[in-house]
Amino acid sequence: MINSGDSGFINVTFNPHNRRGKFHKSVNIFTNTKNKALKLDVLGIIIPPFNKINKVDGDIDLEYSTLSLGNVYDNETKVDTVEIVNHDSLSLNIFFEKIPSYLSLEVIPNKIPPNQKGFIISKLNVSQISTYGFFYEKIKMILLNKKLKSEKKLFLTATILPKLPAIENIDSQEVPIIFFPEKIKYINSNKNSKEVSFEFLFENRGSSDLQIHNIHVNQGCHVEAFSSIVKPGENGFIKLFCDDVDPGKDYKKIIDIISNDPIHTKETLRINYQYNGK
Amino acid sequence: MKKVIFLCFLGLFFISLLYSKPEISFSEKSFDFGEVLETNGKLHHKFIFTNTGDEPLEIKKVKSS
Repeated sequence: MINSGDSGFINVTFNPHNRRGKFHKSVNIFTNTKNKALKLDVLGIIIPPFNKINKVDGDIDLEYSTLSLGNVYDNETKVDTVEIVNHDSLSLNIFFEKIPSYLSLEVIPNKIPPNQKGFIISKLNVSQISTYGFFYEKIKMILLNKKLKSEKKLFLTATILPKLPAIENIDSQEVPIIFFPEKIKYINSNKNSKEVSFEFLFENRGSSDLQIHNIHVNQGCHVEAFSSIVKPGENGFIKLFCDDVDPGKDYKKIIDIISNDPIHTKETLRINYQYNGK
Repeated sequence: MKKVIFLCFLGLFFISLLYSKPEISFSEKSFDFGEVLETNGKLHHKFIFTNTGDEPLEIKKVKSS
């Protein structure tokens, strides 16, 4: 409780480890004021240490080979930049093959002079992508100078989220609210089986239809069935089937649920499976 | 007459109670860390706020994206 006229603080911590590139994070504060929810933003750019630049070929260094764009909304165009250093005595050209229509890649300068650095600028137009959740793209990159022609891979990852009403305006709107009574399943089993089924139940505690846009599960498991639209006050389910797990071994699985709930747009469920028949 | 004035004051008191609410005011709502080396370790920032309302302020939940 903070009395009238008194001050307090919200301490925000961001761990930059393995989070290279631009970041923009939101912190939502829920209070007993008239505007119950308000949003704070923290942003910045995480730069990798120079000695961690990857050697891609001979005398060419690439800052990183995976562009991790983080959370991107479906009406957004996200831009990221990768530094490339040409330590060679010859100019370097970079080309990309089979770039999908929702992605553009540009190299600046067009030809990287000897002992100079350049940049690869990527622009992902999410409005042209029809899926939600984890997104992954692999691009073939050709490095070319007079004595070298080399093919490398450039990777791009993002989590695509639906653009929903601003959190400050939620009080005045009818919104769905997803609620999972159980977010982590601890399974103790002595069955030595390669195939296991799981079911998570959820409820729409909001005042408008809840829509499940996408469910992403770790490798080895897949979604068997789920309730895609759940009316207010009603319950839904997500049935998962794992058919590629090592029988007789423990494992952990993570399931990401993307919905139109403006506060819990991405919910994460976990399965901790423990084999007791050892 | 005194009774009427008393009732008016009483009415105003209840109206003020009805409208008194806590208010949260932040000195800043956004913070840019700028360019930071990955090896510099965890980044910290304090968002300072003041309760500018008439009632005690309660922070019910803080959720980060």
